[in-house]
Formats: sequence, C-alpha cells, structure tokens
Amino acid sequence: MRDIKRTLDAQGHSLLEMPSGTGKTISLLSLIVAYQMHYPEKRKLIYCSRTVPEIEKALEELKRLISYRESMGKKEQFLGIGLTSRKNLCVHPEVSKEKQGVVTDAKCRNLTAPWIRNQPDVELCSFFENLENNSAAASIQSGVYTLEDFKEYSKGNGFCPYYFARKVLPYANVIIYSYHYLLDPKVAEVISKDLSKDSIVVFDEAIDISKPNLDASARCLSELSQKIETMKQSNSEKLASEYTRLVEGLREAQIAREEAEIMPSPVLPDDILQESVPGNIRRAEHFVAFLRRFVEYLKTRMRIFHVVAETPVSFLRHLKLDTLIEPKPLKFCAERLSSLIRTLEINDLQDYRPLQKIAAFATLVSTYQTGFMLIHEPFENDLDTIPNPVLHFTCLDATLAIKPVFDRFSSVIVTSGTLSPLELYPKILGFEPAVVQSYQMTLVRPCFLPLIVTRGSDQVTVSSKFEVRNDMAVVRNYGNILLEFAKITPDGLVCFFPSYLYMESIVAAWNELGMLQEFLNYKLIFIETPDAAETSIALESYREACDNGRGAILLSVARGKVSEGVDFDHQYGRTVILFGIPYQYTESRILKARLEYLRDNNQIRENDFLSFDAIRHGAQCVGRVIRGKQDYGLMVFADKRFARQDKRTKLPKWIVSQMDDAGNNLSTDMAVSMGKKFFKDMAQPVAGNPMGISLWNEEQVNQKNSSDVDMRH
Amino acid sequence: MEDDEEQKTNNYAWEEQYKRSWDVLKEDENGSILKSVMALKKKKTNRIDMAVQRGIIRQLVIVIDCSRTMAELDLRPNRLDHTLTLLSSYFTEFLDQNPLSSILLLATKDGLAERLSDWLASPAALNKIVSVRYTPSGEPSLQNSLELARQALITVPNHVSREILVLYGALNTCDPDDLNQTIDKLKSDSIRVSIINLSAQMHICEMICKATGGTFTVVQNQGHYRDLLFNTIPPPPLITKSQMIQMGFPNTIQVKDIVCAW
Repeated sequence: MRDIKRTLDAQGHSLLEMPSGTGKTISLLSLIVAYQMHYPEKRKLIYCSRTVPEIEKALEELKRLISYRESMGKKEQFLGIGLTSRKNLCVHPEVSKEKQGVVTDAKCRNLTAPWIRNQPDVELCSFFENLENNSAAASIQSGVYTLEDFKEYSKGNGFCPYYFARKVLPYANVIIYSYHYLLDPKVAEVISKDLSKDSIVVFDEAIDISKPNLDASARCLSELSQKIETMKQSNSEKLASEYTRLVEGLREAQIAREEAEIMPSPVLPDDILQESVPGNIRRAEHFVAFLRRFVEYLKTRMRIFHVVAETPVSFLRHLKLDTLIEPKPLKFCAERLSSLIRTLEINDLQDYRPLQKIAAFATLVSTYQTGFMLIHEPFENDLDTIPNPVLHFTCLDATLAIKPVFDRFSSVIVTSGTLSPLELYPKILGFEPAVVQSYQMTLVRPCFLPLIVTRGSDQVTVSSKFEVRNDMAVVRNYGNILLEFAKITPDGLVCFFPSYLYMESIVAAWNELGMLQEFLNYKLIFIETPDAAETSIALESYREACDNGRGAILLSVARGKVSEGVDFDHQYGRTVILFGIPYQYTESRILKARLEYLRDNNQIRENDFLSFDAIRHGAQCVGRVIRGKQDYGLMVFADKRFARQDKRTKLPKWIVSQMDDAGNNLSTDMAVSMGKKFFKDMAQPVAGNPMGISLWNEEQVNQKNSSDVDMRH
Repeated sequence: MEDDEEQKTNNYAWEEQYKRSWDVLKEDENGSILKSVMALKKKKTNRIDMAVQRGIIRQLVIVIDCSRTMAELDLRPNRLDHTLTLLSSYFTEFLDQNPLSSILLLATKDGLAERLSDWLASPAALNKIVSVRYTPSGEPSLQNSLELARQALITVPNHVSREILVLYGALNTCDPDDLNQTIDKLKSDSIRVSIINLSAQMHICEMICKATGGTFTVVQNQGHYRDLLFNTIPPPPLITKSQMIQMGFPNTIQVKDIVCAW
C-alpha cells in the first residue's frame, strides 16, 4: 500500500507484482479510495480489468469497501460503476437474446442510429428513447453499482443501461471496465476522451496487456466484398449534396451525425491529419472507383502461392507502381467510407463489414510506417493443398496503443500476480516506472508445495517438448502421474496442457491405453473445450462433484478461458498439475515477425522472451489454486525442463521461495509421498498465532510506521 | 526476534547453530522434566476442561470403512487390520469410562453398508466381531452408512446422546443420492457425527461434522491415530438440553436433635 501511495504522490507510473489470491484488488481499491477522499481534487480512478467476471468481482469488492467505510463513520458521496459491452448490458427483449456480441452491436445501432430515428413509424428501442427524452432528469444516486444492480436500476427507470452508463461516466468516482475501452483507438475515442489528465489508471492482471494493443491494431482479411456495385446504385441526389458539403469543408451538419459511431477511426487520435479530404476521393463515384481499384489489387496479391512478408512502406510502393494509388488518399479511406455510409443512411451495417475492414486496413497501412508487418499466407497450415489465402496485418510494437495512455495520465499502475521478469516489461511497453516492486506472501504456515516432477517411476524423463510428446513412454508416464495424484488428492484436481491439440491427442492415447477407465475409479473427469457454453457446464458439474465428495479432475488448457478467469479455491483445487511448458505456437509467422522486431529494437533475445512468456502463463495457471490465507494446495510442474536452473529462476519469486532442493527433480513416486505428507500436515488445525505474522492489529501498524520513519532519518 | 536474527544469516545449514532437541526440554528445580513433557503433550490434545453438561448415556455407532483404500500399507500391517486392532483396545477403554453406553458396528464396502453387530455393551462380544479379518474391496459409501446408522439410532430414546464415529480411509464416496439431504436429516435428529480420515481433508466430511456438531480430524501417523481415537472417549458436551434423570443415590439428611439409643 505504501508503494502505491508513493507512486500517486510522485505522479509517476509503477509496476507491482503480487502473488495471486492475496487481496491485490481490495488493497489497491482501499488505498486509492482513501487517497481520493483525502485530497480535495477528487481524482478519478479508472480500473481496467481483463474479463467480465473480474470486473464483477472488483465491483463487489468496491461495494464491500464502501459499506465498511460507512460503518466506520465516513459519510461520502461516492459513485462507482462498471461498463461492459452491449451484450452484457442490453435489456431490450429481442436484441439481448443474440449470442454474438457483434450481432448485438449491429442490431442496437440499427435501432438507435440518428437517421433511423428520424424516419416515421420505424420500430425504436424504448429504453434508448426514454433515456434521450429524459436526459436532463436521468441521474443516479451515489453508491456502488455492480453490473446486475445497474441493470436493475436502469430497467426500473426504463433507461438503456449501456447508454446510461456511458452518460454517467463523467460523474463517477470509480470506473471499472475492460482494457479495450482505454486502449483500442476505435472505442477509446468515444468513451474515454473526457477523462481528465490526473486520473489514476490501474491495469489489473496485466500480463496480456501487449495483446490487446496488438489486436486493436491488427487486421486480417480473408474475403473480399462485392458491395461496391450496390453502393453505386444508391440515391444520386444525396451524393450530390454530400459532394457540395465536402467541397466547402463544412462539417457542422456532420457533427451531429458523428455522435453515432458507424465506423470509428482505427488510427490513434494524434495521427489523423487535420486536413480536408483530398480531391480525388471527394465525389462518391470517384471514391467508389478508387476503392474498387484497391480491392482488385488486393485480389491479385492474394493469388500468390508463396509466403510474403513485407513492411507497409514496401507494400505502398508496390501499390503505387501497379495501380498508381497514392498513399495520401488511402489515409482518408476509413473516414470517407463512414461519411458515405452516413450520407446514404444505410440501415443494415452488418453487410458492409468486410468493406469497412478493407477501408480500415487501407488507412492503417498508409498511416503507420514502422511497427507493422504484412504477412501473406497462401495456406492455413503448411500441409494444406487447398489454397485459403489469408493476409495478416499485424502490429509488432506493443507501445503504439498504450503510449498515449502513459503520456496522457499521470499515474498508471500496472499489477499482476506474474510479472517476472520485471525489467522486461518497461522495455516492451515503453514507459519509465517510478516504482517497481515484487511482493511475497506473509503466511503462518507454508500453504502450497511446489514440486517438480521430471521423470516417471520407470525413470524415463517426461516432457512436452515437440519431439518427445507423442512417445508412448512419455504418454504413459504422464498418465501415471495423473493417476497417482488423483489417488492422493481429496476433492478437486486441475490439469493444464500447453494446447488443445496436445490435450486431445494425449487424452485419445490414454483412452487407448485404458487409463481413462482407471482415472474414473477415483475421480470424475471434465474437460475444457473451445466452446464457452460447454465449458461453463463442465465447470459447474466439476464444482458439484467437488462439493459432494465424489471428486473430479478438470483437464484444461494453459492459455484458455479457464486458466485466465476461473478461481479454484479451497476444495475446488487441491492440486494443480502443469503438464509441460505452455509455449506459444512458435511456427506462427506473426510471432516470428514480432520476435525479430523485439530483438532489433529492444535488444530482447527471442529465447528469453518465449520462455518468459511461457513460464509466466504457467505460473498464472498454477496460482489459481491459492485464494486466501486458509487455502492450501499442491503445485506439480511435470516437465524435465523445469529442473534446469534457467527455467526455475524464471518462476515468480513467491513460488521459488517455497521450493527447496528436496522438491526438485523428483520421480512420480517420490513426489506422491511428499504430496501425501503435505495433505496430512495441512489438514491439522492451524497451530501458530496469525497475529504478528500475517495479521497486524493497529498498534503493530503504528509500530512499523514509526520504525520506518526512524530508519529514514 | 530470534526468528529474524536466524533468517538474516543466509549461511549454509552446517554453519548455523546446531539445534539440540534435548535442550528444548527444561528441567524443574527437582530435576524432573515432567512439566515440559506435559506442555508438549498439551499442545496436541486441546480438551475443553470447562464445566459443561455432558451426556453420560451414549449410544455410539462406529462405521468402519472396508473399501480398497484401506488395503494401503502406510499403517502396519495394513490400514484395515491396524484399525481393527486399535478398536479392540478402544472398546475396553470406552466401555470402562462410559459404563452406561453401548456400541454398534457397521462396515461399508462395495458401495453398500452392512451391520456387523447389534447394540452391544460387553468388550468381549465386540472383540469377537472385530477379530474376524475382513478383506477390503470396492468403494465406500458415506451416505448409505450414515443412513443405516441413523435408522439404528432413531429408535433410541431422547435423553441418550446419539453419536456416529466414522473411520474413513478413502478420498471419495459413492452415493446414491444427495448427501446434503442426509445431513439435514441427521441434524434434525440431533445425531452428532465425528469423522477420522486416514488420508486427507475432504470438504464433504468437514461439512457433515460442522453441521452436526462433531469433530473432523485427519491422521498423521500411528501414534496420532491412537490419540485421536481415544480422544472420543470422554463424553462430548451436549447439543440439546435434555431433561435430567433422577438417579437413585441415597440422600443424606441433616437431623438436628439426635436421640441415640446408645
């Protein structure tokens, strides 16, 4: 807490690593709220999290915090809200039934776009209308609203929760939403542009912060649209009036329409040129012809049968040579397309999405000269013979999207449970932290036991390395490890594999060996699939089995939804087994391009980066099992590469500190006997007094304070 | 403070001061170490030595797990045999300390529960049943054994303290129905369930013991097993206030004027 305060006072950024399940969220929130209330400037807190369950958890913690503050006698006006996508907040009876977020968005826009509302007898969204009509009266009392509370409140008043939340944003003290609302240029412009400079930004669970940056700027085209013809047939009157408007550079009529984000600009706000649209795409026909030429060129490019990787500069040069398209008009593609769509008052925006993608691609290619790479892959995997060309436009530089955030806000706090190595992060994200700290757990008794199992009972080493993973001995040994640990673990056991493909192949092999039947004698088996609904059913049943004594095993993937969002506390996770090291798919050309970029610009070795990334994800999975001081669990790292010094030291400090030489380089039976003893010891009532070690009362806090003050003088 | 000093020196283990375990015990003025030994022993057994109402008349059902996990060899000769041997000395002690009680034995194996005996109050009869060597097999069933025990206990009158002691070795249970319903029924019948697990801490066992007011413990080794088992011998505090029963002890009356014939 003291380090956070130092960061806030110093108006700098900080990087904090805290072990999972140690009350990171609540300590961040309590200190920052107290800081806010203490100083009169009322700085806003923006808390960015990764998934919707995490946002909900944070909102609940905030609620408990505020009620605790009230019970302590502090009466304050405090408003805390959360914001997520339309899919989670919509209350319209039809639109909210859609399963995909994109479809919900499109339908919502169909109902709420300004020109549609101006038309007579068209069905409108009553909630949105209500909000628009009573916009002066719409206000919300102070308090903390979880997503469910907010939906109920808005529904009670007949307002649309999504737009109401956006409206109330400027008045809130604490805003909790996902990374995209701050990092993705498309969305950030609309939602976050009013946030003041001295707001405090917190990125929680930040290990994948580079990923949203990259996704936000990447484009991937796989099909081309034929919509240009339909556009040409549209009303020519409107086109004529639009032409006059553009020529005179009048924007007033457009500003009102700009409220509706049809297709927000994909580039960062600073990079849009403040000029008017160039002459050769002002007329709608010219623009349409221009787009058509561009699309034809892309089609010819896609017909190549070998892999091409090139920079934007070279792409633009080839484009100019072949089709005489200059880069400058390309920059305005996205804007021009959006204004055209607005003018033509096109209703069904779903159909124009591929065209929007192409326009966004054109704009990005011409605006950014460095930090991006174009990769053309004729086949999806290298073994296919049917051509399925995919053109990737990837962002290599993670700083592009996040740099504006660091520049704009004075205090940004980045935290996670697994940020090792701490020196690498500032380089990748391009910022200078004022405080860099890594914390360990303070415990009365060591509540988790990390074990590194490197070989099976027949002394054959086990690993998920690509060359040996399909070897029968390794498969059998992995099955044996799972079986033995299932025998000694009460209640729930969680397993993590490096990838879906590997998990499926090894489970099939186990089935052939008859091992699955043996597992079922001890525990039920549940498996995670790429489908979200199936996985949630599996999770529910898993929890039920753990609760009523039947016991269960959950097989999941290290980079999947389960490992990132779900907690396995107490009986739901008594053992976690990490099969192998969860490396990314190293043959992907996008990854290779990114590694090359990092090596050239930031002097980070590819090997280092890959292994850090893999072990970080592994530690993230393994940390799911400890969620509190009373919780305990066994962590098994089943790969011979973990025993090596270089891999072991890359694990977070709080895990390495509990590892001693006795827990390293074990075979299955040795590990099982250590595990048995661990469970028996942990089941005894806690002997030591938590006071003084993991709990401090008021006088101990004051003591520590005064002793530190003395130390400083 | 001493811990801080020790941790600050990051030496090798042989460089630190060798801890002599015999120094931990401190001698009395008379040279006896009885007090320190008693202090060490007291840590393990926390008994409630307060004045509480205890039920002296107890009906205890002992459920013995005969599933295949009881064939493991971490207790000698194997878990089941060790349990049965311990139980024979337990019976003698228990019936000695609680003369008004009786014991019923159940076994669970292959997913079912079966009665091994009837309500017996003589150690010899119980020892005869326990000396038969059973073969462990199949899966245990907590629910079936608790239901069977419950049926045996409902016929018992209200003033008697009803208890079930489960000696469980497995880490899972093979039940036909929802165990929570059984727990509710046990609670409403004021039956106290205590579980001693030989492997690790199971969530459902903890729930059962917490709901019914019993204790859940896990065994670490053979000596610990014996201690935990014998800890159940003193009667536990009553859950429900039962009516007092008049016992026929002679009363002494104070007579003011004694007229003696002698």
